[in-house]
Order: sequence, then C-alpha cells, then structure tokens
Amino acid sequence: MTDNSILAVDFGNVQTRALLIDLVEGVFRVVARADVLTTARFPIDDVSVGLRRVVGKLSALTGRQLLTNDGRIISPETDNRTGVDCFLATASIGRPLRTVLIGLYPEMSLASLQRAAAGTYITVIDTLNIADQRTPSERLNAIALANPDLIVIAGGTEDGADDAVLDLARLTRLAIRLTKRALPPTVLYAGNSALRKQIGALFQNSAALLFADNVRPSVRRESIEDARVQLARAFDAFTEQRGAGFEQVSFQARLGVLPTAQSYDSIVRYLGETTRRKRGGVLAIDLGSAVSTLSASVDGAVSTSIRTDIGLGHSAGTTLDAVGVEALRVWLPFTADDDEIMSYAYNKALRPAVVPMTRRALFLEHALLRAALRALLHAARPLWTPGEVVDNLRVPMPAFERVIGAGAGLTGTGRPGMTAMLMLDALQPIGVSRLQIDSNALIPALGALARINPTAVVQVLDAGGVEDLGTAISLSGTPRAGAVVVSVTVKQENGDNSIITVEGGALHLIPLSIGVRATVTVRVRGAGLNIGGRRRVRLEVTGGTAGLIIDARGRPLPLDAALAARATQIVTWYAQSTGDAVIELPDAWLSSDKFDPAAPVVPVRRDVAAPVPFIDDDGDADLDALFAGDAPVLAEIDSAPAQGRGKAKPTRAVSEPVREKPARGRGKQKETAPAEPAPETPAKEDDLDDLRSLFS
Amino acid sequence: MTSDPYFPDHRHLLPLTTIRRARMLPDAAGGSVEVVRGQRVSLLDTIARGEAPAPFMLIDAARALRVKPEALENLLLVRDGDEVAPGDMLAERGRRKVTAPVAGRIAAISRGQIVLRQGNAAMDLQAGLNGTVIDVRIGRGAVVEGYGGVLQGVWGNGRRGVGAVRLEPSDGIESLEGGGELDANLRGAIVVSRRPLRSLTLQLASDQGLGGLVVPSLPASMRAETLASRVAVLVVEGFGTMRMGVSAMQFLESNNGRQGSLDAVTPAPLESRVPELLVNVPFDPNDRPGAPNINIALFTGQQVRLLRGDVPGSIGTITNLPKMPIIMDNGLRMACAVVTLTTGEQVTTPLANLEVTGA
Repeated sequence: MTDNSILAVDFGNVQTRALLIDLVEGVFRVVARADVLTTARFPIDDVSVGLRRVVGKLSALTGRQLLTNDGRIISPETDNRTGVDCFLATASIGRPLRTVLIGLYPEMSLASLQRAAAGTYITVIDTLNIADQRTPSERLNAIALANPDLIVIAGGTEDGADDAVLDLARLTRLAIRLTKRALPPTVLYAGNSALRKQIGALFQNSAALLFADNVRPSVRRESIEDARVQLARAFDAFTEQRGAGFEQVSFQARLGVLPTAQSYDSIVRYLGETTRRKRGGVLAIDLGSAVSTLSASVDGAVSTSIRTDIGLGHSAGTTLDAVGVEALRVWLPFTADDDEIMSYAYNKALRPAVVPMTRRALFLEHALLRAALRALLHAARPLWTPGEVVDNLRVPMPAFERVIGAGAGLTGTGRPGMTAMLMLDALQPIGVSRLQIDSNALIPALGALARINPTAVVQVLDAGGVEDLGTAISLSGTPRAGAVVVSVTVKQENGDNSIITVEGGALHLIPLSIGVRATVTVRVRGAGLNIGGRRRVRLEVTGGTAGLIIDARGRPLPLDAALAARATQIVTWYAQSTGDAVIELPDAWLSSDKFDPAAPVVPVRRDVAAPVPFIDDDGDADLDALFAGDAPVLAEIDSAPAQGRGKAKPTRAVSEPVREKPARGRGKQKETAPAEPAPETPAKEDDLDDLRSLFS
Repeated sequence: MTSDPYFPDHRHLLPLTTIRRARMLPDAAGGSVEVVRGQRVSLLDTIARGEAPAPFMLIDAARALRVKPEALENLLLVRDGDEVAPGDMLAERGRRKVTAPVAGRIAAISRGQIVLRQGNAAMDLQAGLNGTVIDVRIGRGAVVEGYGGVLQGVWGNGRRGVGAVRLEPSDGIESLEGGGELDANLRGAIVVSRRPLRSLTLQLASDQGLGGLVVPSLPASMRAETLASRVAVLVVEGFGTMRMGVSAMQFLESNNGRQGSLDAVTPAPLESRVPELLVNVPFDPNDRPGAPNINIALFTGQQVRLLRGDVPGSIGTITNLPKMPIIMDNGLRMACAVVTLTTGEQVTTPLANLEVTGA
C-alpha cells in the first residue's frame, strides 16, 4: 500500500501537536498543522480526547474529513480524499519507565545496554552485574524495591557464558514474583541468544517478555539496533498499560506509540550524514516540559541524551534542583533572593503551560531556560569526545552547521529574534550556524515516518519543514565593547547591497526574509577575534524569520560579573534581538533589597548599541575603506584558521573549573576553533540514499 | 490564531457539583478491593487494602542445613504467608536449626532458600468521599461518585486529612503558640489560613493535632519541611507569598463547619489527581447537581481564573477573544483574551494563563 497522506501526532506533556503531510504535485509537503493542550490529566485523563480535538482542528483547517462520527481516524484515505493513508504517533509524555539494567560486566553488556537505551524515556533505577559486590538479598531488593516497569537483561557473548546469566534471570523472576504490582513489568532479554528458550520458560506467566539480538555478540562487537527497536516496543506497551487513552491511540497508530526522542536520534543521524560533507555537525535540543532530549552529530558520530529531570514545565523544579539557583541568577538583570527564584521554578512546575506576563517573570523564565539548556549541553558533551574529558562549558563548542531548538519555551516566544538570542546565549555556537526551530513537532513525525517512507522525510525536510530563524555568524574571542569588530557585506539576489558594521558586545539582526538568498562577506577586526577560526568569511545564506544574525558578543559569552553591567548587557541584547526599545530597569531591581513588583519597567530608547548600516554601491571598496589604516585583511577567503590549520583543538585545559567571572580584555583569547566552511546546497539524491540506508 | 477553539486547563472551584473520583492503591502496593459496585460508602470507609513495598531477606536454609535444595521442603517448619518473630524456628534438621533473624512474613520458599519479607506495611485506602461505588478496578481500587463542594489547589504534601472545615482564629494559628488553649473545634479540623504558611504554623498544626491545613501559599524554602509534615497541607495559589484569592476565600468561609476531605496530592507528571478539598454540602436529593462540563473551549462570557500577572488568582469573565496574537509588555507575542475582573478592571492575558473553574 502506498502512503500518500500521513497524519502524525506527537503527545507532549503540555501540547499535543499534529501535522498533515500530503503529496502536492508529486512531492510530500506539510499541508496543515495544529496543536491543543494535552488531555492526559485532570479532568479528562484521556489523551484520545486531545487527539480528536487536534485532528478536528486539522479537518477545519483543510476542509478534509479526518475523523469518523465516533472520533476514530479514517484510514486509509478514500477516493473522495477523506482520511489519511497512515497515522503515526509519538510521545514524550508522562513519567519515564523505571528501569533496572542487568548485565554481566559494567564495561561490556551493561555499557552496551546504556547506549541502546538512549532515545527511550527510561530512568535507570539500578544496575546489577556479577561484579558489584552485593549480597543476594541486596540484589533481590535492588530489583524488587525499585518497582521497575522494565527490566533489561543482557550478558554473555554468543556461545559464551550462560550460568551467570541464568542466575541473574532467576533472581529477577523471584523479585517479580515477590512484588505485588498491578501490572507486571516487561522483561527485555538482549543477551546470549542460546539462552532464549530457558529465559522464555523462566518468565512465562510472570512478565511480559521481549527478545532482542544480543547487544554484545562478541567482546569486540556491539549490536544495539534491535534492542532499540524492542525498547520502543516496551515503551509502546507501557504507554498502553498506563491507560490515559493511550491504548486507543496505539491501536490506531501504524507503529504504535513511539518515543519522541528516538525520532530526534534518527533525524539528527540523517542530517549529520548530509552535513558531514560540509564539515559541520548537527545539534538538536528539545527542551520539553517534563523531559528534554539532546541529539548531536559530531564528526559523524551521533549521540542522544535524555534528561528526565530537566524541563521548563513539569520538571522546572527538578531543573532548578539540578542546576542550582546560581545558574539562573547569572542570567538575571536584577537581584533575586533564592526564594524568588525557587518560587518561580516551583510555580512553573505546578502550571507548566503558563507563560510569563511581566518583564521580571520573563527574565526568570528565560534564565531557567538558558540554565536548563546549558545543563543539557554539559551532560551531553562528554559523549561527543570519547576518550577526552570535556566538563567545562567554556571550552569552545565543536562547529555545528545546523542547530535546531524545540520546546514551547524556546519556540513559543512569538519573536524569532528573541528565540535566536536564547539559543545563542545558552548554546554559544561558534562560527557559522543555521538556527532552526521545530515548533510543530516535525522532527518527531519525521523520525517515525522514516521507518516507513524515507522519501517523504527527505522531501519534507528539503521543503523547509523546520522553521529557519536564520544564519548566525558568531564571533569568537573577547571583542572590545563599542569598537567596530565586524563588517558585513550583504549582496542580495535582487541586487540590493548593504554594508553593516557591528560593534563588540552587540547582537545584530540584519533583515533577510525567509527564502531570500544573499552572498555575505564578513570581515573581522581586532586581535584574537575570529569566526570559527577565520578572519574573513564569505558564504551564501538564505534568510529566515530572524534574518541574518551577527553575534559579535564573543565566545565564551562575556556576561559581566557586576550586576549593573550585566543588567545593561541583558536588556540591550533583548532590545537588539527584537527591535524593541531598550528598557530601563527600576533602581530597586539592582539593589539588594526585596523588589517591588509594582515598580514600573519602562522603555527609554531604541537600540543604542545597534550598528549603523551603510548602503553600498560597489561592494567591498567601501567595506575596505572602513578599515583603512588597520591591520591588513586577509586576502584569501576561507584562509587558514587564525591559529593553526586543520582541525583546531582547544588549547586551554579542557577540565578546568568554571570561573564565575569570564576572562576579559584583549590578548586573553587563547582558543581556536574548527574551520567553518561556507554552507553548500545539499546533494538531494545522496540524502535520499543516506536515509534509505540508515533506515534499511 | 485565536479564532481556533482553545481548550484551557481546569482547576475547579464549585460550591456544589457531582464529584467522581478514582481511589487507587499505589502501583507498587497491589492488594484487594473491599467494596463492590453500587455500594454506598462514607469518606472514612476502607475501599481497598494493600501492602507497601518492604525489603526482603534471602535465607539460604538448604545450605545452612547441609541438604540439597529439593530436600528442604521436608525440613521446613513454616509455610508461605506465615508471620514470624525474631528467633522463630524456620527449618530444622537434627541439631541444625534455621531461625528468623528479624520479624516478618514468609514471602516465598524457592530453590532451597526462604524469602522473608521484613516488617508489616499494610496500607488501607479510604473512600475520601461520601458516595456510591460506580466502578471497581481489581486489585487497585474503585471509582466513587458523590456530591459536594470542590476547591482545587495547586500543591499538596502527599497527605490526606478528614475533618470539619474551620477558619483559623482571627489572630492566626500562631496565636496558639506558648500554650495558647486550642479551641476544641479546631482539634482534628481542616483549618483554613488566610496567610502564607510559616514554619511555626506547621509545627503548631502538628502539635495541636489539626486534621489538615489549607493555605494560600508557602515559601519555596519550606517545601521539604512541608513534605515531611504529618499534617495534610493544601496550597491553593502557589509558592511564594500570595494571599488567598477572593473566590477561594468565599468558598471556604461559606463552608465553615462542614465536613471536608483533604486530598493533598503532590503533583507529578501524568498524575491525574489534583490536590483538593471536597466538602459535604447539603442539597435537595430531588435536585442533584450536574457534573462540570470538561469538554469546552474558551468562549466570550465564560468565567475563568487568571494565573499570572498583577492579579493572579482573580476570577473574571472573558469579554473578548482577539483573533491575532498580541505583543505583551514583556515582549512576548501571544494569543490572548480580554478578561473583565469582578472589580470591573479589564486585563489582557495569554490564553495559556487562564483556567476554567468549572462554573
């Protein structure tokens, strides 16, 4: 059967989002999107109600009947274009599966299980292995008292150990028998395949049993793909079991209910393959309400990490617990005592959908958001450089050609420039990055769709299904505030040219509408400054909702340690990113006294730090004139990195502790960064082949 | 576009309504249901019994007696389910004896080993509501339907309380400090405080044996202390120093002296229960109240509660639903509603910051 029309619905903890993908003139396109609040909690307690609401919205938008009179999705599509050929469901909702991992050795089967579990919403309550020094009673209690939803057992290479694996399996069965769960846990066996029959007999009538290929068929080989598929099945079974209407959703969905995070892993894997030719990685972060996912493709290796304690809604309180109040305070342009910060986070957890209404609340919200993103990044970075400890966020990021943000806190500002600023603040990409946001849960949909129709995935991505905020060109080093540090020439396809200079410390957005192409030349002025290791960059860019973004604030982002100066920085960046007037903060906000929430916050002037644009007739000549008498500009475009050729590595010790106050001043910049090539047009045929092979 | 139907969150504040609540044992404490469908229950009736998780002890009896595992059965002096005290004999072979090292219950005997469940952690689940059992979930609990008033809050400390709803003394619960004599009416009562919770209030509530506390807010720094308290605490507005909203206070004043049930659930993702106070309210049996409409999109004229801004907790009526998003003072661009408060003031607020009260 050909799937010409696809309905994809993603169930988040706060939002349920739906997309309708259809063939338009022979090419798959997103033709409609809608969202509603998720209905998993009081008073409805049934996600299928939200499903009907959101699909009803799509019907109203498209004039196409998608639901039967009793609320079921019409499938397959009929001749009169009612219904859809395929319905896909993904979910990140609810609590993660409480999981116990059991293997023979921590560095072998257990390590493989940990990697297989990336992309599924599990919380590992405990791990057991034969070398863990615990008594049999302690092991029994480790399983029984963990009250697990899922127990994953691995161990033994093919034709290898069996007695030790069977002993652990027997202990597991005893623990299951002793606990009095209303629903027995699922047991996934991914060990020595020679033991499957005995394992099947052991758990007959005591647990739901799944089998996967041995995650460690030999000492030197790992095979986790089948385990990932089976973990997705376990997740689907869990979502069905826990009720809340998921059984109805799962019954109708072609592939059951898939974990949203697996989609991130799949799509980043694909995008990483296509951008690898351009020597840039891909970073996607979904900062959800209860759960957050970070997937990164760095040097061709993909890693996905899930944090069930970090989120901007339900998990706002645990996020604060994880990062600490100081991690928020550093982003606040006012004094705030611990109680104020804690109250904001805990109240956000109580009403996750609520948005800040006051200026002060907005700063608190965005401080929490930035701190959460930084924490995700901090946790994920060690996965990108196996064998090298990187536990300091001040070490420059690897080059990311594409950075994608998701989650309502990030995508729902209604101000693309503000969203771009938040991503730049928290992630601090270096060089040239294409900033995108997925506000409609396209990535979850496409990750699921890739399993059955890779062609549609490629076509939807090529059609710009993910919103482009714009290309961000970020200056590394410590630029001097107020001095011109960057000049930018923008030549648009329609012949419009402009030259813009940007001062150090500024975040400048150059209007460049969605889809408009331009050739951009950027020159760096000032010692120790570079763009991804280069002093001069020329590249083709396409406009986005935020335009072309020049981040001349430096890397690491030089947040001032002094509150008054930092407050000026922060409110100026908000103004620069939105085009709104710079607001004047009440004096009381900067004092150590308790603030008066009634104190007015008023805008006083527009964009004081914004650079002056020059309309150019003949291009580079004027640009060069701006730098007359200064150090010669490198003549060669895309020349060698400022401090060494090839793949640059940080020269600073990678594990140094984070300092509260960033180093400032000229000449202190030591880092170099990987070279940043100009973006290229993707090779679409190859993309399709890549995706087919990835999901074959 | 706000012309789309927007289905808001619910947090009910209803003087009299049909109440339907599922009462379930915790997932890890399966047990038996003690009621049948159609049975009348009062709020203190036990509807299910379960066992809380408790640690197990593996006793390798076969090894201690120096026999093969399959030979143990004939040497056992206990059976599955037997309660034992420390020192009780579990198995015997000649002069070799196996005794219970701790008190507990025999949970299993398997492969030559005796599994002893330590301690007794029985758990009774009360109806928490006067009403009728309308559904039974085997091994888990039941759904009870009744009638009464509902005040839903935002946070609770995981405890339950039952008692008469009483307003705090005019000079506050803290007036009981230093041996102040407790009004007999307050003992075992669910006491309403108009002020944010204080550490002293919590301590006095525990010392004086209050049945529960209803407070507008509590300082974030008191969260752990409140979770540890034995007294059920319901927070109506949130963390911080907020005072009780006018509508919530009117509800509580109008129910002063009536029997109430406090279910101070601690919110968690996918937790379908909401921290709430249910109050027995007299009604005409021939004119039973209906259930709130829970499947309703925002509309002009609807009563809503505001959640943020200068007037959080205020109740008002939607007077306009603009079609286009609005840029708010803080720079965010959001779909909004215009709400006229009971004071006559008009407020433009994001749709996401509105809750339906059920009225």
